Amino acid sequence: MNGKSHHGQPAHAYLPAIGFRRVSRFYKPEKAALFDVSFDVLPGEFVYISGSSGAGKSTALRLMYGAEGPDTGAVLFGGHDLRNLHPTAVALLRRRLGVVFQDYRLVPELTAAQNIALPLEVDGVRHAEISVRVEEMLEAVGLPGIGKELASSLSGGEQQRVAIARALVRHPEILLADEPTGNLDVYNANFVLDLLEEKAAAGTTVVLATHDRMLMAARPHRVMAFERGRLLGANHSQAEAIAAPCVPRAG
Amino acid sequence: MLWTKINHITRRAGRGFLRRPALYLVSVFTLAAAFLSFAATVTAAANLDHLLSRWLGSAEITVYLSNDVIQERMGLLASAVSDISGVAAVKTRTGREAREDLALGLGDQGDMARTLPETAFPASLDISLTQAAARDQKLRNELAQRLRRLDMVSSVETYDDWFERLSALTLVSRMAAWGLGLVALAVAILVVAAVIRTGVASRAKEIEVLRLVGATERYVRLPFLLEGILQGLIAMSLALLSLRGLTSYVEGVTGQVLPLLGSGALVRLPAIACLVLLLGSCFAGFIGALVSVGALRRA
Repeated sequence: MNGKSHHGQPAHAYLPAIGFRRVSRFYKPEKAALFDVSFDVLPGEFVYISGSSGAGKSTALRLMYGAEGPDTGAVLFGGHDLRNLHPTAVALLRRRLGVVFQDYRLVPELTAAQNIALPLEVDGVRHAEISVRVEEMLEAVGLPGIGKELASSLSGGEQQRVAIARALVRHPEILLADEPTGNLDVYNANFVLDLLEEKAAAGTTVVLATHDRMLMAARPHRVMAFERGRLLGANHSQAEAIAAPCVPRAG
Repeated sequence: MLWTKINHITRRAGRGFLRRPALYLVSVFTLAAAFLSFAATVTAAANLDHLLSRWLGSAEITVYLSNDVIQERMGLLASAVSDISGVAAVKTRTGREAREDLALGLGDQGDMARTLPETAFPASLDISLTQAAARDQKLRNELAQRLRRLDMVSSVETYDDWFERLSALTLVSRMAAWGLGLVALAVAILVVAAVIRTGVASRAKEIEVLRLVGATERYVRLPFLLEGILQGLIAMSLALLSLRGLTSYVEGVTGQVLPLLGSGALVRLPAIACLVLLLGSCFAGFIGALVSVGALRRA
């Protein structure tokens, strides 16, 4: 094997939480949203995916949670190549992660509590337990007592916190967040980031896509920088990230 | 775990009903009207069939006698006729008895019949046939021919025209029931499919979120299928309840006529037929919903 996997990447002793192997994604034939991207995200890591608009951050995230597949290459999720999985198996893998979006993706006709309860309902958790866990999550995100309010009646900051509560309510192994603070004021942005770092400290793998350099500077973690669909550096550990010249480590 | 999942799926289906109650009500009542038309036609066909069977089962030949025939000769004739092959029983009826039978049959209006002269009602022999003879038109005709040749016989009524008309009507009603059944099925599938399609469209965000949080396609689709089944079931239940009321009403209106036609009471759909209709409506709702969630999968 001469130290290389069959994807042409270094063979590692660890099993990455998420791995990209020479992944390309084309929305137009002549323009790659992602091109020949390879990287690993280790279990428990907090990683930034940075880059300007159109750099490929959101595409990378969509590939991570299996919303779409790569045109070439492989996306590994907990060691599973998503290409080889039946849609039902992909759905079951998604239960191991939480996703937070810039636009929240709440169901406006449902209450805050009903939105947070959706993943637990999918898991088949009993209603009595759901009520308790939803209430706990609402307290954790600083919104106790708003469970019965419609999602559409909440402010942007509140909606984002409810979206995070929904992503965290089943205690996921991996949390993917696409510009989660993009629409928030400083107070709400810090609250959300504190929460994500707290979860990372507790062992949750966090992948946060952002173009906000100030944020990355204020809260230093490994950074994977994208530009025009290409990864400027692939790092397999925090130490390598710091050492990599083309990938600035914030802070 | 399974029960909890069923509970969640049922709640989601319930949410679909509650989110657009007006649309579901329109859908359910439209289906109920289609199902009622079908069930009513089935009931009508069943009643005509029942009437035909009763007529065939109690087939009679009425031999009207000349006015000058005395009662003693009627007795002799009845005795002779009862010995003929295919004859089960012979009953003599004088003019007075015939008038009284009519008066009794008319109930409250019976007194009007009693004012008519006795001679308006010719004496007759009511000949009941055996089951085999009743169903053998050739045998009935031969018997009628023999009776017509007797001097004292004025006319012989075999009721063949009535049998033929009733048979034709029964056939038409059966065909109408089948036709309406197919129409009701098509209506149910189309209406449910349209309602579920709008449901899918209005809940696109919820479906997207469910998929994001790991819901399988089955989990996403089951509530819609359940909604379709429930629409069919509720509509058919309404239709059967309406039919019950309608049957009682018709029975009340035609109560005095039915005995004259030889039918005691209206035949109602048996429980097993109701069960089949309920299952059929569930099936139609399921197919309608399946058509729409099939589109969801393609999307």
